[in-house]
Amino acid sequence: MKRAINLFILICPLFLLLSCSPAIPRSPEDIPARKLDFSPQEPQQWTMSNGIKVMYVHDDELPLMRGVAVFRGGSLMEEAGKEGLAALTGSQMREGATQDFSPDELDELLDNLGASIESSFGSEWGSVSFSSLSGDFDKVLTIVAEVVQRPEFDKSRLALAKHLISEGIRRRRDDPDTMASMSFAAMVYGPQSPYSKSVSMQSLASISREDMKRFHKRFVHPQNTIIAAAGSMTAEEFARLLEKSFGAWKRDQDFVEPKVPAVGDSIRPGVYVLEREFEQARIILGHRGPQRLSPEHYRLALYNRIFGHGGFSSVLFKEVRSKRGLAYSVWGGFYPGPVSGIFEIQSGTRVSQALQTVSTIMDLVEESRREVFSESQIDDAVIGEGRRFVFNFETSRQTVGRRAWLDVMNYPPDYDKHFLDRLSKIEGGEIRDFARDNINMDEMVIVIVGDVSAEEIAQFFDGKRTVYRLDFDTEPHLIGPVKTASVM
Amino acid sequence: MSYLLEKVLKRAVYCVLAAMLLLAPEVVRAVPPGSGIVKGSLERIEQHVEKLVLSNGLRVIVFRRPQAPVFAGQVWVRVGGVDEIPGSTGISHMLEHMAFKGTTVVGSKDYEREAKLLAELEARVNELESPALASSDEKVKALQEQLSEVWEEDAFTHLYQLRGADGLNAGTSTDYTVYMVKMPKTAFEFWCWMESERLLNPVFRQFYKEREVVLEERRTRTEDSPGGKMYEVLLATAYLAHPNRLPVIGWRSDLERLTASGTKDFYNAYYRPDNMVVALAGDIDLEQARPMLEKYFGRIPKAERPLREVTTVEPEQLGEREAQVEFDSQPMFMMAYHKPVFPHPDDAAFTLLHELLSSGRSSLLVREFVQRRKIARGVYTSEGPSERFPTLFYLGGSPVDGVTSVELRDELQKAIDRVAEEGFRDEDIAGAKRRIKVSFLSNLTSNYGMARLLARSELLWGDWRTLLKFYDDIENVTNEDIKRVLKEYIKPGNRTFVEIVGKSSEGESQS
Repeated sequence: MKRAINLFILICPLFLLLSCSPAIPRSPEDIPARKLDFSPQEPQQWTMSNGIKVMYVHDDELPLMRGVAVFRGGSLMEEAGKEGLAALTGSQMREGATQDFSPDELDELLDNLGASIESSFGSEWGSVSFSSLSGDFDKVLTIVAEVVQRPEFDKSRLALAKHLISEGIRRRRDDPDTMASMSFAAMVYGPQSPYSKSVSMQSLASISREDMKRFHKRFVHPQNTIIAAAGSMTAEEFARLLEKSFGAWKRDQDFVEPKVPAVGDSIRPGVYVLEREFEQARIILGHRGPQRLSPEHYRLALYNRIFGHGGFSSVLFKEVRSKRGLAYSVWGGFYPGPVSGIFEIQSGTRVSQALQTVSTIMDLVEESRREVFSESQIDDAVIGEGRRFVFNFETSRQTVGRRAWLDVMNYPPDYDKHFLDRLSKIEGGEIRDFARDNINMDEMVIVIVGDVSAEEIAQFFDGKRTVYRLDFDTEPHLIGPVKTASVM
Repeated sequence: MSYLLEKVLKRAVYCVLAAMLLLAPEVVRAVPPGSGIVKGSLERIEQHVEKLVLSNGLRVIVFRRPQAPVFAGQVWVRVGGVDEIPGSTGISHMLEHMAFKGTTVVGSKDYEREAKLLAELEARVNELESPALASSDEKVKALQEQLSEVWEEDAFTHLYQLRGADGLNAGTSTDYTVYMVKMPKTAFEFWCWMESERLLNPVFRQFYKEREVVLEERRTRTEDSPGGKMYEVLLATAYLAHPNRLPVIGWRSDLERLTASGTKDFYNAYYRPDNMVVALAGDIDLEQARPMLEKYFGRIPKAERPLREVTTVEPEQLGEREAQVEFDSQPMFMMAYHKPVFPHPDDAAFTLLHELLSSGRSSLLVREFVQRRKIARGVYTSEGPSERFPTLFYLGGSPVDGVTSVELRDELQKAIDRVAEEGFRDEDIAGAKRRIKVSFLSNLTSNYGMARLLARSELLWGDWRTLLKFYDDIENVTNEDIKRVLKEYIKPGNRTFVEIVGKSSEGESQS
C-alpha cells in the first residue's frame, strides 16, 4: 500500500504538469513563424591618408584579433605563358618571408607566437590574412605590413614551391573531379582563354622571381588595399597600430586600376568523354553565363536558389537524388563572373547510369526554360532566403568579411539593405524568361569522366551532339570526334 | 581528431571572401600566458553553460551567447561504425540519411495509406532471396510507384529551410552520429518539434532509393579515391578483432543488403535518451527553453533494455603488418600505431606530437622532409578512427617523383627514432602547447564550434567539464613523457603500413 501511495505521489504531479502544459502542435507548420527583429552591426570604416580602406568590428568576447588585407588583381591578369604567376606570387609573399626574417625564422616566430599569416592570389583578388592573440597583435601586424609591402620572395622557398606545384601537376590525373573541371573550363572558355588556362610545367618553368616582384608591384598598392578585421581591441587602438605599420606606405601615383580581360576565345559545344577507370562517372554540363551584377542579378539569385542551390529543397536535388536515387551529389546554377560568368551543373553517378543522369539533368534544365516555377516554390525561396539572411552576420568576422567582399566585388554599399526587398518583387515569369534567355541547350558543353565508352555515348546522342574523346596527362587534350555507325 | 563522414552541401560560391575569413585556417595559436588564457576562457564559459537532465535522462547542454539572434542546435547519438556488426556495416550512416526523410506527420500526404504500403514493401523485400534484389524487383518497383503518390520528397528539409535553417547537415563517425543546424532564435520551438519528432516518430521512407544514393557516396569517398581506399585497408589491417576495423560508410555488399526494417531495429536499439546529448549554443532564453525542452524532448521514452556495449578488445599487435592497394594514381602511404585514448595519461603527449611533428611550417617532419630534403610532397599526422576505444596514431605522406613510399617511410621512422632519443627543444614544446590552446580558443568563436565541443565532451566522457582535464593534461606533458611515448608506441612492431601502388598496363603493380 505504501508503495502504491509513493507511486501516486510521484505520478500525480507529473500528470498535472503534463495536463497543464500546452499540447504539442500536430504539425510544425502550426508553430507560428515569428518575425526576427534584427539589423546587422555596421562595421566602422575609415580611409587612411595613403588610401587604404579600413573596416573594423570591435568584439571583445575572446582575446583574439583576426582579419585580412585584400587587393584587386589576380590570375585573370597574368600574361599568356606565365600561368601560375598570381598563385605563386600570392603564396610566396608569406612563404618567402621578409627583409627582417628568413623564412625559417619567420615560420618559427609565428608558430611560437601561435599566430598565423597566410597569403594568396586567386583569379580576381589577392589577400593576406592574419590572426593572433590580442596581446601579440602589435608584433604580428608589423610582420603583416612587411609581408604586404616588402616581401622578399626567398629563392630557396620559391624553388621548393615550384617543385611542389610540379608534383601537384603530375597528380592531376589521379582526381576525376580535377580532370572534369579543367576539361569543362577549356571547352566553355576555349583552351587559350585566361579564364580556362591553368599552370603548366612549361609556364611554371618560365616564372622568375622578377616576374613575381613585377606582379606584386602591379597590384599591391595602398589605393588598391582594403583591410578588414574584427577583434578585442578598440577601433582606436587598431587604427593606431595600422598607422604605425601601414601609415608610411606611399601612395603610387602611377597606379592603374586592374582591369579584367575579355574571354578571348570561343566556346566549343559538344560532348567530351574522358575514358578512365573510375567507378563513378563525373558529369559537368553548362556554358557561359551573365556577368556579375547584371540587371538580372535578382532573377539569377532566385533561379539558383530554386533550381540548384537550395540545398535539399532544390529541383536538382529532389529530382536527381531523392526521387531517382541517381547521385549523391548534384548541384549547379549560374556563377556570375567579372566579364563572363558560367552556367554549370555537376554530378557523379555510377557508370551504367551516366547517360540517364545527363538526360535527366538536361530535361530539368530545359523544363526550367519553358515552365514557370510554381508560386509556392518562389514564395518559399524568398521566405527561406529572408530568414536565413541573419547568418551572414552571425559573428563579427562574418560581418566585416561580408562588407569587404561586397566592396572588392564592386557591389553597391546598400546592397544588403535592399537585397531581400528586391528579391521579393521577382515574379515567376521573370525567372522563366531569364532562364530562357540565358540557357542555350544547343550550346551545352557536356563533360563525362569515368569508365564509359565514347562510342556508346556517341550512339546515345545519335548525331544530335558531336561527341569527342579527350585525353589527359597533365591537361586535357582533344583527340577528336568519335565516329560511329548510325544506329538503326 | 576523429574521422567524421561529414556531408557537405554545395552552396553558392559567391561568398568566397566571407568564407575565406570564416574558414581561414583554424590554426590560430597562442602565446604566454597560454594556460591562463584558456583557463580564463573556460571559466567564463562555465558561467554561461547550463546542463539540464530531462525527466527521461536526456542530457541537454546549453551555452548562452546573445551576440546574434541565432543559435546552433545539435543532437549527438553515441552510435557509429564501432557499434555495427559484419553483414550490416554502414547501418548507422544509412540511418543518418533516413533521419532526413520525415516523420509520421511530415513527408506524407496520406500516412495511413503509406504505412500499409510500406509494410507491404518491406514484406516483399524480406521475401526476396536477398534484399540486394530490391532495386531490380518489379513488385518493389510497383509498390514504390504507388508510394510516390503519397510521398512528399524532402518535405522535412524543406520545412527547415523555409524557417531559415543554415548549415543543415549530419555526420556519422566511428563513435557517434550528429545532427546539426543553425536557426534564427525565433524558430526555437520549431527546432524542438523537428528534432524531437525525428527521434520519436521517424518514418524510413524512400529507403531503397536512398540506399542507391549511399552507394554513390561510397563510390565518391572510397572506391574512386586512393586516399579513401587506403584508409579502409589500413583499418582492416591494423585491427584483427575490434570493430574499429569496419568502414563507417559500410562494405558494398553489406550496404546492398540493408533493409528499412533492419535499420529500424538498429534505431530502436541506440536512439534512446541515455545514449544521446543535445547541445545548444547561441541566443537562448533559458527560462523559456527549459520547459520547452522538457515538453518536446522529455517525450522520448526511456529505454528499458540495457544498451549493447562493445566488449571486444583488440589483441596486442605482435609484429609489423603491411598491405598494398593497387590504384591508378601516384604513390602515397600511411603508417599507423596503436595508442590509447583520453583520459589515458599518455594521450596528451600524442596531442602534442601532432603539433611538433607535422602541424605548421616549423614542425619537424614538414621542415625536414618537405622543405629541406624535398623528398615528400606532403607529410601529416592524425588519429583515428575512434575516440571511444583505443585508436591509431598515424603518419601519412606522398613521396616526390623518384622516391618510393617505402624509402620515405623508413626515413620518417628514422627521424622519429632520433627524436625519441634526443627529444624536442623545450621552446618547441612550449610553442606547441600554446598553439593547441589558441586553436581551442578559436573554436569557441562560433556557436557551431561551441555546441560541438560541449556535446562531444559530454557524450564521450560523460561530463562536458572533462575538457578542463584535457587541457590540464597537455600543460603537464614533459619532454621525457614525449620521448617515452615515442619509444613505447611509435615502433615498427606496433606498426601497420599501407601504400598505394600504381597499376601498370600489364596489370603488374609498381611501387
